[in-house]
Amino acid sequence: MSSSTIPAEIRTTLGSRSSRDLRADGRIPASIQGGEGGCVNVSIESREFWRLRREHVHLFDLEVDGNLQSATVRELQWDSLGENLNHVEFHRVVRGVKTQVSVSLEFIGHPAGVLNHLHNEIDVLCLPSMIPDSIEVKVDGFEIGHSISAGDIELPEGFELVSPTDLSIAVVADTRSNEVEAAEEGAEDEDPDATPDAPAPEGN
Amino acid sequence: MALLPKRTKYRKVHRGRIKGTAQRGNTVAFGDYGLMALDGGWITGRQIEAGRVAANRAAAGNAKIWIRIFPHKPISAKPAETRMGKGKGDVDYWAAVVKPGTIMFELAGISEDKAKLAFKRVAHKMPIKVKMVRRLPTT
Repeated sequence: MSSSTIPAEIRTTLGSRSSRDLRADGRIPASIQGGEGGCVNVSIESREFWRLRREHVHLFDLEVDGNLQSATVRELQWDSLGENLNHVEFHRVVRGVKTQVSVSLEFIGHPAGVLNHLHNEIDVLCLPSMIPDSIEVKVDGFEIGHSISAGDIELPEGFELVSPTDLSIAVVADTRSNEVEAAEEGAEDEDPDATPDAPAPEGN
Repeated sequence: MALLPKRTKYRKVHRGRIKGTAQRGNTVAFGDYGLMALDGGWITGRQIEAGRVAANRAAAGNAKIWIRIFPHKPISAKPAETRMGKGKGDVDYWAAVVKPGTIMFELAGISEDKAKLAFKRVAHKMPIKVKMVRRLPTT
């Protein structure tokens, strides 16, 4: 058994009640979709899934009825408090063939203002074995008003951007403290005492 | 100034019951960090405003703050030393109905330590238990 293999049991009973029972037994309801074979409802062991996630595994080998199926995680469904997983949606992939995945973005550095994230993920085409935890976006020293689009992101080698290149990812906005400073500076400039050479008003 | 609606369809509403957990508004959607309600309850407009001011001061105006809840619910009360009856009391204040799991505030543009401090200040203004959360992975 390789390190990324997870035994998966086919779910015969579906619905919220049986899913709740599975979660109580330490298992996560899951489904495998895409590719050949259609949708298969399975359940996986929660502890094993989290162990692999901690090891930054993104390509899983699901052992269903003795057959290994390579799959990536397409969607994670969390409970209301964001503590436990309700459901995992796997997507079948073929090893060695590029697949489309959503990768989260990690913004590195300190811009001049506050970074407004418009998108936290981008779609890329890459080999399933090369899916990263996140893609770094350097925003250090960006001025206020600077916009970062998907095309500006430096992708690792072998990656292709699927999202539109003009997709706006983040914008550097002004902070309140900067606005207050600018207002104070503006007020000082308009102060008549500060400009003694100003012409005296006529009509005295 | 405390938050309140500009106009309403009905002047007064029933108390209602807070059942279950938040099925919407339960993810960090805009900022980097969020303040999650762990109990259900009514958060008054004044408490929301106090939380906003506390977060702003703790972050020294360098953070962007999102308030994810709004006090839509009118809460009525009878004046002191009034006999019972004579109809429902006048609207006293406005409250946001919050279920466990609701993200009430979000912060962006500051470090995690500063966000933790800011949310600690906000937590003191809230009538319910809260915790700081980060954005959850979706894939």
